Amino acid sequence: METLRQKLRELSFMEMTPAAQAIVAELLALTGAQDSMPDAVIHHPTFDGLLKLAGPNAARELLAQLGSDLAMVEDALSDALTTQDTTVIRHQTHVLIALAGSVGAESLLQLAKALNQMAHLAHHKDMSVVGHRLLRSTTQVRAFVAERLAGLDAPGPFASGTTKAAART
Amino acid sequence: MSTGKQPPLLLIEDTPSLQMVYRSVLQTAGYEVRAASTAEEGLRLFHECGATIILLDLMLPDRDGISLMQEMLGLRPAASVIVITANASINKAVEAMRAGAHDFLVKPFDEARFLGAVGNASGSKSPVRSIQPPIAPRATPAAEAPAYEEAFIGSSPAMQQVQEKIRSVAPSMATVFITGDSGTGKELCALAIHAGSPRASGPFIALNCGAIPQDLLESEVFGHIKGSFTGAISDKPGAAAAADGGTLFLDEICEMAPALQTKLLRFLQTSTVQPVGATRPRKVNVRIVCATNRDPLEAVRRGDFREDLYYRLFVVPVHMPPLRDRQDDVIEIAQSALARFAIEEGRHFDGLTSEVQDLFRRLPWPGNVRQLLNVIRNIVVLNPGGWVDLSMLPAGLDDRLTKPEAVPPPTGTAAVTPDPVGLDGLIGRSFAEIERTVIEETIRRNGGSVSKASRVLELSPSTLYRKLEQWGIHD
Repeated sequence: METLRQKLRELSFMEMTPAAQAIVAELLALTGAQDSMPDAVIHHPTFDGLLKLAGPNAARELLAQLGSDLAMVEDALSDALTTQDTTVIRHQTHVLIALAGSVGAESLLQLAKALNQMAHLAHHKDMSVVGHRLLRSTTQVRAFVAERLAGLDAPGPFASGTTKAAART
Repeated sequence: MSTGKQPPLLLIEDTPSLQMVYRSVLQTAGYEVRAASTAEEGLRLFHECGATIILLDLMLPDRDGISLMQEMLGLRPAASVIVITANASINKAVEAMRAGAHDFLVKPFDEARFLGAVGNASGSKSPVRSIQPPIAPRATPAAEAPAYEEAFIGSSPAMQQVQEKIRSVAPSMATVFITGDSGTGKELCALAIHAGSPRASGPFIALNCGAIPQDLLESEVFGHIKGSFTGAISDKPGAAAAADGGTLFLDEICEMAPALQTKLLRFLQTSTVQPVGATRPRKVNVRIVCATNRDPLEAVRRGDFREDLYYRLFVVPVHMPPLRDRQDDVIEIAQSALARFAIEEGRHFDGLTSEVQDLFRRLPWPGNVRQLLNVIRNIVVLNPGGWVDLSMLPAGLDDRLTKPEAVPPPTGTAAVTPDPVGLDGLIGRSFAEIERTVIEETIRRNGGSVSKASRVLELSPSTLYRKLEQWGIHD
């Protein structure tokens, strides 16, 4: 069973159609594999490149703004998933696609694309399943951003490396 | 890159962190940037700073981005608007291109592509533009009367639609994909687009991808450096560089070798060319118009044409209708050509008799306008003048009417059975467009259910999902 869970976790980070995303998300929930998912996958060169591009002075502001934007999207999506408001889901996933792509959050990017398409097609059941995973992934990315922001305040700018994201509860 | 005396770029993006990222990229590249978070603020800055390059997110909190773009272009027609959209809304991007956008960028942004698009827009604003001399591929001054000008004569609904589409798309930077049977006037269509664009004074370079040996094609498109291969006795700029500041017309695009398709895709993404043997790429500012007499989507299905390149090029499709679908256009074209050729040959012809007109209407014209012009030229050269009657027609012209098997079925991208009510709107559209229309409508009629639509269409749901994803149908 653990092997199956592991395979599902690996599978969940691959690019696939929204239908496949929904099936994998459902299997993750059914097998309990979701409870021990790894931290959101961040492509570190992309993330570091973004900070470098902003420069040392603007990096802090950028990280703070990214955290704020991600939190706004997360809250709006959480509400919209509860009420099944497809218009809001479509709009917020648009924003999330751009944010996730910019910071190199590849799995979040795939989930946002999948959820957007499901919302467009009003696939409510799939939306709930994938939406749950997407919120979890967003939380992880936001935590990662927060930790990097905290790292900037610590001695030595642009602290890098693999940071374990702490989930917001 | 310094913008010098140029006005600042105007960036309109409502997500604060994305606005910061885009601004950083632009400022690092040397551009002066003014930024707005709403349409209202953007319009105010547009008036204040005199921006001629605008980066516009299509999804704004207070107004639809396309209507804002149209207002800006109405106020300042020379402005270049680059629309920014999420990956999931390619449809919107295409709609924006049709409405006059200069280019579009897909989020998440690629820095090179981002700066390439801005650089292109910036280059096209340069008041002094060096016009490249013609090279081996044909360079046609837009003002020059093309050989098949008759192809555009005609008041049939099919041609009216084509002319309207050309008028709409010509002023933008949008890539145009022209389809149509051989002899329908695809190159003339490309020329008309070039002539109606702000780059009309620049070069129009036509390259027939099917007529150049595959091993020379890369050199013809991208050029080469002296000594880079046997026979490269001097530097050659290539069609892409020769078209700098103008339009590059790639005819018979589906015949392009797969390896070169990859390089063309790269060229489209980066706007840079690297001649064979060169160590550094060079930036060029080129609008691409391409054409084929094949069904491009079928070429993709067969694996002859890259799918990603297809979607890159198939931004604004224009289908040139076959002559047999153009009703009385055949008579108008024949009369016009008769008058023109008669002057050229120093003869006097009174016109076409009613019998000839009747026959011309019934002929299937498999060679389209080109065949009709050849017939008229034959008549003018071989006859002294007067009324053109049946006896003057080239032998065998009406064979196709007497041999049923010789009458071709509708081919190419217009293969739709005529007549039934509801199909009128499909005639003249490409097969790919028709497929999409039918799928979207079936989903709509099934309450948005892909599963139900897939059962109606007898396709697997995954096939429909894949197609929807390819078309960017998310929102």
